[in-house]
Amino acid sequence: MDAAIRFIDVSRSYGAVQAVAGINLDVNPGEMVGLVGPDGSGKTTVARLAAGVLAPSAGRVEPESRGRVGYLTGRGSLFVDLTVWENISFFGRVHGMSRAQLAEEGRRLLEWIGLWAFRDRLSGQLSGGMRQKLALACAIVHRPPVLILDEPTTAVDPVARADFWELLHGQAKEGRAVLVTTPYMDEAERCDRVGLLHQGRLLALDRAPSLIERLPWRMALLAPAAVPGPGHGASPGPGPSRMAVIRAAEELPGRRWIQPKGMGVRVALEPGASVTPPAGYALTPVPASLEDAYVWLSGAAEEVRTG
Amino acid sequence: MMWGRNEPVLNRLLALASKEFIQIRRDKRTLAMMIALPLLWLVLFGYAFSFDVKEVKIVVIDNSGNRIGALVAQAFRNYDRSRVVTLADPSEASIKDAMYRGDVQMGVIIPRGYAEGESSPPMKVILDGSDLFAAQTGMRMLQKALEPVQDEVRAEVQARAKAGPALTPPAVPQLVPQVETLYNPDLKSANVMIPGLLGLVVMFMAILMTVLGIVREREYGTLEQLVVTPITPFELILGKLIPPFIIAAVDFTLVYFLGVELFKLTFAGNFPLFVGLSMLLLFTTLGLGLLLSTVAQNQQQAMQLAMFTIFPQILVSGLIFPLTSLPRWVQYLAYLLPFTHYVPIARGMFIKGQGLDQLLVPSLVLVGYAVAALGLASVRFRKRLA
Repeated sequence: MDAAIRFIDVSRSYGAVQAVAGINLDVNPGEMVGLVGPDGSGKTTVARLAAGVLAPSAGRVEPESRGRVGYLTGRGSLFVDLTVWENISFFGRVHGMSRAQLAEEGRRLLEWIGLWAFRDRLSGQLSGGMRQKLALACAIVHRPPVLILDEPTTAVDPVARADFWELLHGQAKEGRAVLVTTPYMDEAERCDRVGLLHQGRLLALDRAPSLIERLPWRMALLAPAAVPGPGHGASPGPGPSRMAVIRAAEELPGRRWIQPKGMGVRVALEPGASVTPPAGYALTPVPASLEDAYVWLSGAAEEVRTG
Repeated sequence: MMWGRNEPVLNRLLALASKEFIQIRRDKRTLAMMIALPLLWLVLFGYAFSFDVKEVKIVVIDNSGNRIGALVAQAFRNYDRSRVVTLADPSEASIKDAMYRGDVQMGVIIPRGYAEGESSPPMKVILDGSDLFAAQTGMRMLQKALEPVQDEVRAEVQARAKAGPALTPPAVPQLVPQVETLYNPDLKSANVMIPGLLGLVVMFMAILMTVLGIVREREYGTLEQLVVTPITPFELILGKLIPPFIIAAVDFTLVYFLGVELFKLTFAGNFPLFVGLSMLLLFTTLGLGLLLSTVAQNQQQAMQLAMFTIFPQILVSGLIFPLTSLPRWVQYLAYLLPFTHYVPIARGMFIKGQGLDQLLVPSLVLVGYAVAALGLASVRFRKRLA
């Protein structure tokens, strides 16, 4: 099967700044690929290269994307001073749809996202979630084989975010190649394959479970042990300070890195390390997450330990 | 199963342009500016920039003791722009004194024995040069007020000659200098200002609409969206320039017809040619706007850059101040600006009815500017997109 988007050794720099380098990436029809990484890791540059908004400084992006992609960004892809209907009809018309096609497909999409009743409302007056749904409808109104989304849910509340991801999954099921960037690990985990971006380089590209399996360490959570309170069952009590917990985690035998989380500390332990906690602490094994894999693959563990 | 891959270019252009017009229509403030500003300027340039003074405060002292002197004095007093001021002590010194205080703008002293013979003393006129426009009006008044007196005196002398035993034809005293003002006989400033204003309105609207229209989309992130669609860079440029073009054309028409109506102007030249040459200025300005849009990061910068481009052109183009009154180096600078070449075209055609043969040089310069600005801007705009 031919990939719908293919990056071959793609690099892009802005002046002297290298934004991304040596990117190799395939997205197949019917597949949703997520790119995850912190701000400045090159997500937006990859998305813009894929959409054809940017030309690569080196390497190739195949095939030519003009006219065959739907593209939407979290920064705003809509004309806020046009109504819902005017937006969708504009994008349809520039893609050469006839009025009859538009009337049918536009209505179908607006009903699908629940905005048909609000078709005469200015899109600038919609909520963040509604706006992104409309942007999605506008991006696919011409039925492109490729859909590229750059941090589509940055300004969207959690409930609407889940809604939005449901719609996205539907797009891949319909046979579209979907490439989506996100700063959120949980969103990335919902994709068929995940690319980990770090400082402009693609560290790995695989199914999320496979990426997690690559982690050679066991993950555990170190927390102050629950002290049985007088007659009231377990209560946290005064317990050790946050600094003390971090120090205790650092002194665990076989620990690779630690990451403070809430009242406890997430630790990566060598496979053979003892799991006996120091006195007054509980050490609970936890499943490894995509974030753990990212920390390990990016070599960010050093930073995490000191931070 | 993609839809409409090879649909006509026209459809996309239409979609793009109609989107622009919906956006302009929704932006009430900009819309108001596009109508109100040209009208405001029309009034400002037509009336406020007017160098014509409605009234001149005048003192007339008639010491002649003869009939011609009395007629002349009467003519000055009755002239429709005169506001006669009476001094307690009518003398040259007191006129100068009153002028110093600002009570009098013009003084006329008709000496004893005025117009009685070859060596009769001339009339003395004192003008306040610090009140430049009043002084200029006073100068014009000299001629205008004296003309009827001249006619009357001539008629009287001729009548006397017929009645009496005429041996030699009697001399008619020449009271009025002979002045002929060509092209703008009333020296109306509107005649000189409105033609240039047409270009100013076109420039202002075209550059603002172009640069704001593009930079706003870049700021909102929608320019990226347009790049992803099948719209080609050329179509995008065209779609973005059509609305400013139409708005500038509407404003041009508005100012032209209202200006002609309001200030009773007559267009002396070839109107289609004038429209064509004005379009050269418009194309140049659209190119400049496009060029600025590749530089400006946000709408505020866009606005500042547009002003920075327009204001020097207003000041040094010769529209308000004569080019020759500017320092030499400013004149060189002025000739680098497109508008400087438009002002003589507009005035020449409007007032004198000049044709292409007289205006060939500025016209060719404008052609060059239009081609260069649009070409350079298109290249830069395309580069900025990718």
